Amino acid sequence: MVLVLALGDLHIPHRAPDLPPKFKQMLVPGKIQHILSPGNLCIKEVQDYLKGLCSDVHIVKGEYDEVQNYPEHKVLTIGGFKLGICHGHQVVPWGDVESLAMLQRQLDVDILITGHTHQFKAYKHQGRLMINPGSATGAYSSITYDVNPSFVLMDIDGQRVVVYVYELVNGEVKVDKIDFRKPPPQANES
Amino acid sequence: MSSVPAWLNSSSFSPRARSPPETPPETPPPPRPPLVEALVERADPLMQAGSSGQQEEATSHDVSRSESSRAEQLQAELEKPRIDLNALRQLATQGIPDSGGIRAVVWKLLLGYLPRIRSQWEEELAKKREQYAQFSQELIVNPSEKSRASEASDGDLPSGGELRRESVEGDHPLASGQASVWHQFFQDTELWEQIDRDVKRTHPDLPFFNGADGGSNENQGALGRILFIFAKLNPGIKYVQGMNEVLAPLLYIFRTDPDDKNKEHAEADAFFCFVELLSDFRDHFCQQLDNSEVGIRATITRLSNLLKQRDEELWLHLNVKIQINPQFYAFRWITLLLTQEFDFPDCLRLWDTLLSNKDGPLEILLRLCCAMVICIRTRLLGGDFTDNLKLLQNYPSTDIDGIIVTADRLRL
Repeated sequence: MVLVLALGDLHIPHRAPDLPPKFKQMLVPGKIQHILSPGNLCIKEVQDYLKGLCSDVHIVKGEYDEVQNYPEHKVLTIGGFKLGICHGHQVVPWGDVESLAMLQRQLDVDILITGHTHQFKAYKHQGRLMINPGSATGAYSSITYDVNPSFVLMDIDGQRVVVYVYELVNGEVKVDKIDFRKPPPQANES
Repeated sequence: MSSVPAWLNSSSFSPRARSPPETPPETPPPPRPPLVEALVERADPLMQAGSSGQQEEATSHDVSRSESSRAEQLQAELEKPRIDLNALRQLATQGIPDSGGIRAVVWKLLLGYLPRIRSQWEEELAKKREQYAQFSQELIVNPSEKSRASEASDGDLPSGGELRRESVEGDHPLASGQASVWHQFFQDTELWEQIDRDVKRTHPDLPFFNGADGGSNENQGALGRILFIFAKLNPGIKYVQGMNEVLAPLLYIFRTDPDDKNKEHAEADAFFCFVELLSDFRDHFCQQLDNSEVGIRATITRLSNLLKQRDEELWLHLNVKIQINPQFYAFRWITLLLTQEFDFPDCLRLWDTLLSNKDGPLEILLRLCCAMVICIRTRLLGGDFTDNLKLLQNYPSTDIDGIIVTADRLRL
C-alpha cells in the first residue's frame, strides 16, 4: 500500500495566500510516501512545505512557477503503475480528453496527472486513467473564477488504485473515491 | 576466603576442564555438607547418567546411546494418556534430542500450552489457533483492503468517459478520528517499524531467519506479527528490544517440527508459548518497574547475592576489587534468557533445562548465570577490569553441559 498525494495549481501568493486551513490540518507528515505536483505552486516556499510533508516530491513546471529547474514532464513507477505528470498548459485545447490521451500515449503511462484547468476531473480512457486534481487553494483560472479547492490522494496497491478526492465545498471537506484496476496487459493492445 | 568451596578450585573449573580430574567433582570435600546431601538426594540413576562428571568423559558412543535411550523414554512419556509433568521435567532437563520434533511437543507441555491430558490436545490446539487467527484479523489492519471490502464491484465502467465518484462517509486516509481504520493504521506504523528493524537482525547468521529463499521471509514475517500482536495485547509493555531474541528459539523449534499440521500453525503456537514464557519475565521488560523489587535491577541483585553466597572470593574480586557492575553483563543474560551468549544449538539445549525447572525458569536462570561466572573463575580472578568485562560480555565458547552441571550444584 502506497499513498501518493497529487496536488497543484496553488498559485501562492499571487492568487491565494495559502492552502485552506482544513486541508493543512489533514496533511500531516508520516502518512504520504510520494507527492506529485503538476506545477504552478508558484514560489519555492510551497515546495519546501511539500518537502516537509514527505521527502519524495516530484514537481513539473507550470507557466507561473518561479523555480526554473522543474522539468516539463516527469514519469515514474509506483507499485504496478507507471505515472506521468505534466502541467497541461502545453496541451491544447486545455483539458481536452483526446489531446491529453495523445500525451498519455507519448509518455506511455497508466495514470496521467495534469493541472491547469483548476477543475477536478478523472477519466478512464482506453484502459488508462487521467486525473486532474484541480487547484489545492481554489485559485481562479483563466477559464473560471468559481473554483472549489481540491486535491487527490491515491492509494496504490499493486495493480489497483483507489483515488480519494478531497474537495472543499462551502467550508466543508467532502471526500469521494474512485476505484480503478489496471486492465490486464493484452487489453491495452486493442 | 574461608567460604569458598574447595570444589570450585578443582581442575574442572580451570580452562582445561576436560582433562581427567584427579578429584571427581561429584565427591566434594567435607566442608560443604549441603552439597553432598544435594547430590545424594538425586541418587536417581537417570539424573546421574546425564549430569555426572564421569559421563562427560565417556566415549561418544555412550553419549549417543544415552541420548537415544532418553529419546525413547521421552517418547514413552509423551504417549501416556496423562502426562506426568515431573517425570517429563526430569528427562527434559538433561537435554531433549534434536530429532523427531520431540522438543516442540515437550516445550509446549512444559510451558503449559498443551494440557496434560493427551486426548485434549487436539481440541485445545484448535481453539488456540482459532483465537490467534482472530487476534491477527482484528489487530493487523490493512486499511486499503478494508476500504475495498466495502466496495461491491470495482468500476467496470465502459472505457472512456468520466469516472463515477462515490462519496466516502467515514473513512479515508487523512481522517483523524479514533474510529478511523486509517488513523489506527498510521498509529501502528511506528510500532511496526520498530519491530521490523529488530526482526531483520534476529540471528542474521541462520538461514532459517535470514536466508535468500522465501521461507526465511515468511519466518521473519511470523516473528513480526507475533511481536506486533503481543504489543497490541499488552499495551503496558508494548514491544521492547530483545523480545525478538526470546521469541526466535520458539518459532524455530515449532516451525521445524516434522509434523505438517504443527508446522503450519507454528506461528500461533509460538505466540501462546511466548506469552507463557514471558509471563515469568515480563517485569524485566517494563521500564517503569526497573527499580522495583520485581524489575530487572532487583533480579540482577539477586544474581549478585547468589554469587556472593556461593563464591565469595570471586564476588569480592569482581564487585569490590575491580568493580564490575553486574548490570554490564547480566542485564543481557537475564533479559534475553541467555540466547545471545552461546551458539544457537547450545542455546536450545540450555532452554531445555530452563523450561523444565519446577520452580519456574527465573530461579534456574539465575543459577545458570551464576554458574557461567563461576565456570570462568580462574580467568576472572587473573584478569583486570577490561579483560574481565570483555570476557563476560563475549562469553567464551564452552561446554554447555559443564555450565548446566555447575548450575545444578548451586542448588541448595
